[in-house]
Amino acid sequence: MKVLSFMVALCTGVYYHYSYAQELPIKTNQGGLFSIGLRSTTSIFEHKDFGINGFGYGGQLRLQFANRLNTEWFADYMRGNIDNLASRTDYHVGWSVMYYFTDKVAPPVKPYIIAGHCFDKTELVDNSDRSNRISKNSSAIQAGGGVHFNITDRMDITFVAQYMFHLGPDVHAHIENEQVMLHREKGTGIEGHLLLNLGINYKIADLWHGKKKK
Amino acid sequence: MARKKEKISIRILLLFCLFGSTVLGQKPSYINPGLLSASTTLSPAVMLNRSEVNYYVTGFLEGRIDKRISLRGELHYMLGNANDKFLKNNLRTTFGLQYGIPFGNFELHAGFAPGFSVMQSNVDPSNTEFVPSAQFNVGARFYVWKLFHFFTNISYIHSKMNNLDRVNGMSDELMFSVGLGLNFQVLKKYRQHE
Repeated sequence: MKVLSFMVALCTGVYYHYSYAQELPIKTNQGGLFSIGLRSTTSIFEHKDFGINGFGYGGQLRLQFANRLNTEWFADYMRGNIDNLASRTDYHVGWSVMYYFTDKVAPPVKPYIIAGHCFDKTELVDNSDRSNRISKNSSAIQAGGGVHFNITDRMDITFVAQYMFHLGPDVHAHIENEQVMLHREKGTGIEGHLLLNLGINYKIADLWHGKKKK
Repeated sequence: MARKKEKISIRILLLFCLFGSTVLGQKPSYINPGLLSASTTLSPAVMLNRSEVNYYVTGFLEGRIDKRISLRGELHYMLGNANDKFLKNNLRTTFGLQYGIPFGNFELHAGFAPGFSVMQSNVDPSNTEFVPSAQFNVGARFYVWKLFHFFTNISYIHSKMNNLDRVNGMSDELMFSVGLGLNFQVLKKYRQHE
């Protein structure tokens, strides 16, 4: 029944017994708080060789370990454009650790610093010839800062700014005589871009303290 | 004579105000947690990077989790435009949050919703793209009964096609919606007060 209620909550935002809208009970500490969310991702830093100017859609799960320590597990799908001649698609899957500056559960504004690790796939495609494409798999690290705007005990709007360093073989596109040239560089390099996320998040349950003692 | 007319007018006005406030005071409050709302309507959308207008049939389903907060999913299906302009087909869905400021059964609200679109342009009809989108909206609604409300909404929607060769695929739109919505209170404890 709980699973069914959870599915209804996901679909309609209204929990069967209305418990999701109630105040969030905290027992001993905030460890075990589990939440889900959605976000929009923007890469605002245009790197000429890397060809990033993207916008994406993603989601995240959060599992809090202690009062000031939270973890975020995320996936993003991003689309970008290179001078209207080629397109770029990025897939990010990763995790981050968040450190809060306060012990409070849901103050109106809750700032934090964040750092983590990510696996990514990048694909560049020539718009005039879709068979002309190149891709790479690599890993990345990201770090930055964010802030939760708590609108209830359970729900927040989160803004995060992170710089992401990609470690691995580089692929890039450049234009010669209005022709798209796609290149894969040998060896390992570091390229980076600034990511901005705006998302909404909902605390579903306390996984460690949620069970009632009989 | 003029004074008498003025006095009568003031009395009528006072009676009207008294009656109005009594009616408003007796009206049940429909804006409560557990309120499900849904509607379908026709929505014109002005493209911000082109002087073109697209026409959509749009629908939403919204569940209120707090007096002021609700989760809202939307579906937009493009019916067409005047003269085969930039967009040929567009199907979009978003899911996000609404924050409302209620005044009795009237509410002003604003929200944010990430989403995605499946888009096709007349520039290259062979290209169908999956495009991440984001929507910011403001609106107003008036819950007139336990089952109906009137609404108006303006949404800014960002989306961009990236696969078009030598064509800027920016497809941002400003969408306008007005209509009649259905609403239903799913929680018994609030339904009893309706």
